[in-house]
Amino acid sequence: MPLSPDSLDTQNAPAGRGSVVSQGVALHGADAWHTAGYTGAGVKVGMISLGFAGFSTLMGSELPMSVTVRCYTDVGEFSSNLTDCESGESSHGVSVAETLLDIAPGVDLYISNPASWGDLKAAVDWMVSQDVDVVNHSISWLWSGPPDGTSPYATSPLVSVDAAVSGGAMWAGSAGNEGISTWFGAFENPDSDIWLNFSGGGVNSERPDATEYNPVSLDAGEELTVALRWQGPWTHAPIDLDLRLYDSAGAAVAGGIAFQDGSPSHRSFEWFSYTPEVGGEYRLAVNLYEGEAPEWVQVMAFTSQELGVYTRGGSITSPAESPNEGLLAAGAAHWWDVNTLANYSGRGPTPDGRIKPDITGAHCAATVSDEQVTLANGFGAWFCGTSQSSAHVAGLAALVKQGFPTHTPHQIADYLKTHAQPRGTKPNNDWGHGFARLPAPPQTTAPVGGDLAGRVGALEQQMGALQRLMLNIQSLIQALHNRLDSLEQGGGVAPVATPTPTATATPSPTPTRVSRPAPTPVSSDACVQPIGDPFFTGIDGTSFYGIGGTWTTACVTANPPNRDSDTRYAKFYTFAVSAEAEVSITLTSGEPNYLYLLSGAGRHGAIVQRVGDTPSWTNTITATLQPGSYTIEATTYYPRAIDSFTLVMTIDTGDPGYQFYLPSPTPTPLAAACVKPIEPGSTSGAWTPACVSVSRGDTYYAKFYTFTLTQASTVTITLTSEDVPDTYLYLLDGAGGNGAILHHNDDIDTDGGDFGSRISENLPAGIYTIEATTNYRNVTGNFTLELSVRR
Amino acid sequence: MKFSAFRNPKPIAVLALVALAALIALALSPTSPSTQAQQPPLDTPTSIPETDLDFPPPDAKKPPLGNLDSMLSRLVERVEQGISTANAAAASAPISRGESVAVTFYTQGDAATLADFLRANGGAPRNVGDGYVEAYVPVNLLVRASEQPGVTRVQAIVPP
Repeated sequence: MPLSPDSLDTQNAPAGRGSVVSQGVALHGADAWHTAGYTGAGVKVGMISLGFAGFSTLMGSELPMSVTVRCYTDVGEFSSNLTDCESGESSHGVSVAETLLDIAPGVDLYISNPASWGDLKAAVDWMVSQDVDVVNHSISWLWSGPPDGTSPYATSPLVSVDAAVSGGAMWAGSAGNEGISTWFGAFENPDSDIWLNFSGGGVNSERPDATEYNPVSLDAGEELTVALRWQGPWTHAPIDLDLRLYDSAGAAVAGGIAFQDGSPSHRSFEWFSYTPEVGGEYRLAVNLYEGEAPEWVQVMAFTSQELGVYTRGGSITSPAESPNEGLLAAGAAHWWDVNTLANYSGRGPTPDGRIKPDITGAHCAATVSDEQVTLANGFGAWFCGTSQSSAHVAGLAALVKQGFPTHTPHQIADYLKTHAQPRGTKPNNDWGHGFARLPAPPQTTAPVGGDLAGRVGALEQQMGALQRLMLNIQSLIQALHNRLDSLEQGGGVAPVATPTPTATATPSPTPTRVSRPAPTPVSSDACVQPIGDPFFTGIDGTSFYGIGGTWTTACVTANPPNRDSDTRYAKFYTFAVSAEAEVSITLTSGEPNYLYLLSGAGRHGAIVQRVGDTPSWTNTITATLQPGSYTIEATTYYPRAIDSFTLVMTIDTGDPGYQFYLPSPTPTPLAAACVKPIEPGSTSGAWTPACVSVSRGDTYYAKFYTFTLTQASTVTITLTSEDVPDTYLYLLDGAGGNGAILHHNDDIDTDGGDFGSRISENLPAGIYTIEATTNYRNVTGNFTLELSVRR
Repeated sequence: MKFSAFRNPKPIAVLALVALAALIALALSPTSPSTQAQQPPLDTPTSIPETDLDFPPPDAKKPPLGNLDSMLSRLVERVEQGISTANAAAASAPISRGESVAVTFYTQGDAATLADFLRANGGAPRNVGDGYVEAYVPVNLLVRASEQPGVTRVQAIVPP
């Protein structure tokens, strides 16, 4: 039952941020800054992107009411009319803007869509003239110089970076999505012919045949642009290398074969663009035409496809490879697992040996502009790639600029690098300085007491933080729903999005059978709460629980292994199981966390299991529990860390099996008003608390309809509702609601988004009862039931 | 100059004969490295000789490209050789308009003077700055424009 972005709507979200909020807000620690009053107000942010189709439709909701524009309609031609930015097909910039505004909803926005290096230079000069404080550049260009970040060209994007930074703007840029479409290594040529051997330095060993060529699969009409750069001076290039593309029959179809003999205009660079008329495998090759073999070669293919042999390293695009300290090149980590990079995220080193990227941001987070794709792990993915991670980082930079108005671009960049959560050695060529994460916000000097407007504003910010927390929970709920759906469909998995994020460390709920746990004990300790009712119980009986919480100084850990007990904050949640149960508990937060499962109800039970001995933002406990009470302690890895978190638990007692498919062991007489005869045709009804489900339990409302077949027939029953988004249908044996379940159905077509229910079966003569119910607890509404009988 | 031993794009039948001859030679004189070394390499990146005569093989003599980048040079060649019309050739560039392609001139001379030249000869300068001119230039004007005083480089504009 995938949720659309619309279903993530909340009301009364702060203006400018809109109703759909990126998961990056919480993951990057922007929540606390919002709560403290930092929204980027007064900070000017320039956004450079491919296009802004649909921008105006989101103004006043996801995007601010006003924006300053420099819209290019052609090379060198621009206007101040937003419609000119919207005229193309690309809405890339809208997604970027949505993301940035979620992080920094108060900024003043300046946007542009340059078509050339000259346009970019002019756009950046314009932004600098407007006193822009932060530039977000979520696009990439072909190389314009050697890898040291210099360029002989006045219009080079590298020069534009320098112009922006020297003009007072920090530059956040995409590290690029070419991690799996780049090859970087020495010009190895073991058989001493003219061809570069790719297999030596490649990390992908699935194509051992690919030695002197590098395969790439292309669809017909899919443009491929490939660039080649090698060791040597950018101008006066003395080594002549060529870049060629062959089709599967061996025909050369494209290439870059410029002459290099050391002349001033000769560059250590080749490129080509090619759009195949026929799809299939194509093969890249690099040959030495003249001169000594270079020490290194870099082949970068701009395509959604991966190369047969790629290196990941050396895949930072331009101008993200700039050494300017006022630039942050952003890699991309999955929002649902911020310990895992996107496989295509650009990685260092640069060919001249510098560490890149500089920092990493979340990607695949929610936007209105992007259609959600459900991943195999059950999570939703919206706007994927370093374009979004860069936008997250740019938004953070805007918050920092508001918090520290005198900070230079270098200082803002340094602030973000310093506070980034390390991932391994800091910095490194995968994550840079780590996952971007704001520390606690600086003390605000704004008046508080007696300033009604200020207090209202603060309350609004707190509301926003709560709403974002709810959204995170909803996202997790959604993931679990999706996962459960796939299991109900026979254990398969949902289609994987393109581009395909790598597998994550976040486990999926265990697909087991369940009976509902016993009532949860209540503790008088304010730091200890019952985990409450499940928010969802699947048809196989697995129950899902979700909790959103915040660590505060009021509650501290009860289990301080090798650390101070009074400086790590914690929350405790109790639950009980009445039979042996399989339990999976996952704690996710922006700060590294620690997760305990304790015996008994309360904070001082024995430790049944614990996870988190190494810093991790997601920890999971899976255990088989005996009947009894238990307590979850959700705490932090580092002392004094204050953050919000989400706790998700699945519980399955494993017995008595598919209880919902079986007749109720104790038949319960149904109220006469709940059971009616039905004739073929359409029947309307309503779900109310007066009639409850026999097959799903008394927290689901239901109506029952009895019919008789005098001879074997094909019966089709269709249940739909405009009030309840997800229905459930049973066909029971006999009259009344207590017969055995013969057939059941949840969704007519989950792929097509039809969450009504339908049963179509050949039935022998007999008496049958339809149970029309819902897939959600305690929901009322009207429905329509269609009964068709064909003999 | 190119390594002559590496330039040998031949039809597959010829290569097969050469290979057969090499095998026979090896059989007759199995320890003759000098003979082996003189054999042309049989491998190509695709194991099949190049067949598209429209795209030069790796050993082909490279034409003097002047200051044009290789894509622009190829466009010019195709038009000059009658393989393409100016319109068709221009259309294969990343950005084009009719017979014109979007290019960047880098010049050590006066950019305004270059822009005037382009304008006077059917080009359409768009961004003109210190040391550069971005313009739409008819394919048949590219060579002459690239030879203007001070021009050091002409390259196709590739959008992001």
